[in-house]
Amino acid sequence: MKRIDARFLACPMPVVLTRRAIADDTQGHGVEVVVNDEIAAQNIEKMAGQCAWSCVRDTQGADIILTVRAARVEDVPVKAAKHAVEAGLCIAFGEDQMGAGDDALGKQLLKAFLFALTQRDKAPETMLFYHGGARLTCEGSSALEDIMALEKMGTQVYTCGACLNYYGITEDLRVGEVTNMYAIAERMIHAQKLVKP
Amino acid sequence: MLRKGGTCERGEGMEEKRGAKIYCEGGGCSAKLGMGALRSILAKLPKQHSADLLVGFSTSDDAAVYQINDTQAIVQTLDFFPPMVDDAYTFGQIAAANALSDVYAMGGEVKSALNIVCYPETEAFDALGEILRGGLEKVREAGGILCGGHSIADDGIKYGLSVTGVVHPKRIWRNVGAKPGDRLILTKALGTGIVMAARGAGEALAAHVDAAVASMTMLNRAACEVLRKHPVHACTDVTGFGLLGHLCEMMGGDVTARLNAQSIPSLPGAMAYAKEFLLTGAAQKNRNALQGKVDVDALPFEMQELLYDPQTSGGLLAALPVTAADEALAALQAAGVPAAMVGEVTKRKAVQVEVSKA
Repeated sequence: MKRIDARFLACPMPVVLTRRAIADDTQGHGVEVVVNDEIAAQNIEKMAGQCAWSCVRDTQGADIILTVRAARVEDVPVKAAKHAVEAGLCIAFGEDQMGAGDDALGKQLLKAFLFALTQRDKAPETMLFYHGGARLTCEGSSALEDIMALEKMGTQVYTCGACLNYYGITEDLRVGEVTNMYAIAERMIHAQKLVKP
Repeated sequence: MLRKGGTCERGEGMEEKRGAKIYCEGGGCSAKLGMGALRSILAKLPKQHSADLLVGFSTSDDAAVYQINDTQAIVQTLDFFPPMVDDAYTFGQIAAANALSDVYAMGGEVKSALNIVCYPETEAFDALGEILRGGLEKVREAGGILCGGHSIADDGIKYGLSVTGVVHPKRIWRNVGAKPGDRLILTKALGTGIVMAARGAGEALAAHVDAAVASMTMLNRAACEVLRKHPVHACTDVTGFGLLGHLCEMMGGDVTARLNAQSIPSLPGAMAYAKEFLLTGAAQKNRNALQGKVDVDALPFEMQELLYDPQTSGGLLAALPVTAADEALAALQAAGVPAAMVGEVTKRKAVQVEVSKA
């Protein structure tokens, strides 16, 4: 059984080392983690509880030894692969259509654009939805599945709270987080590449 | 080099030493002593009374307020901590913003500040210069003047300020005073502890760290100045005890806060990092101390952690009557303050803080 000495490490390192060791423990043998701080032990126990791993505590002098085991090999959590996200790419959706001319065509084009994003190797790092675009992340949006798929790949999805409020659709948000103009402005300014379809 | 009038000018021959780095681990408001231990010790100290002491530490308020005449009271507060970022100048800015915030949390105006410094003699001193420059520029931004301070040699770096402000004795914002029906406004997003913990583990995106730093260096001055134009029943700032801890300080014997989890603003990345258990030790201490006082069990794990997350230099948390809250929120947002309406106040329930079912 792998033994990790996490004594004297500040949070979140004891938890991080445990989580990584469990991810590597594909055979499900378990991991022994040694800490000397009660709070570090509680944080590891908290994670084990959330992940439904077994976690048994023992003490040896000033040290606390936690034996952690993922219940089944299939339960081992796999972190969202970082390489799936294109760092620095931010896409801003200020409308629920793409281009101008015919509204129905515009909406179809935008749905196709979002679908096309899901077919690429890497997902955008960030997607911002505001004004008419706020509808895209809400109940009834035909692009919802595609946006959720991108979120699973690692995209951070944000919708403007003031816009949701304005349209009365705050309760209908189905993917990502609510944000505000301050944060939207910051993300746009700091993006390496800002795309508006 | 201090000239008359208190401005600190760069003398000739001093090169600009930008980007000085300092060692940081944890730090910030995660370094606070746990509230349980502190409270029991403070309770044992002999009580002093004075008719002029309008706010003391018995109500765990943000600053002390001492009346000097009919229209003026001094606001007195101090804050210092170890570094939570490795850029010296930024650390100075954050520590100063954090200390200055307590004056704003009382509804006051910043007047002057003194430096509090602990610094190892074995470290390069140019980093200390950067820390102090960061602090001074933040005090200036607050409309105050930095007029001295004290430093000692110590094993680790710590920096902060002792701040003096003024407030009208009849317009003090205390922690307590929220009434049933009031709405709760929070003026900054939550998650600085989580994002900086993720950074410590090498798992935070640079953009997320930048957003957290921007939030920590932001003064609560604009938020305070806008809110002063509206009726405020109670106000505090959210720091080391997390939103839940500071909210409990506001909810005295006769009221309960009901949070609307959907409305609680989080810094970019915070929820995702919380899901990955990239959490501070202080958040767990907050969880332990608030057992039985809050009921957030119905919330997803990462949202719970956001609410326990210790904030470094967090926003103001204010209770306003429902008739004024929407207007105040709009005014805050119009002034560029990232404010959100996060809940309401009700008559006392079984716990001090609960979440709405919606």
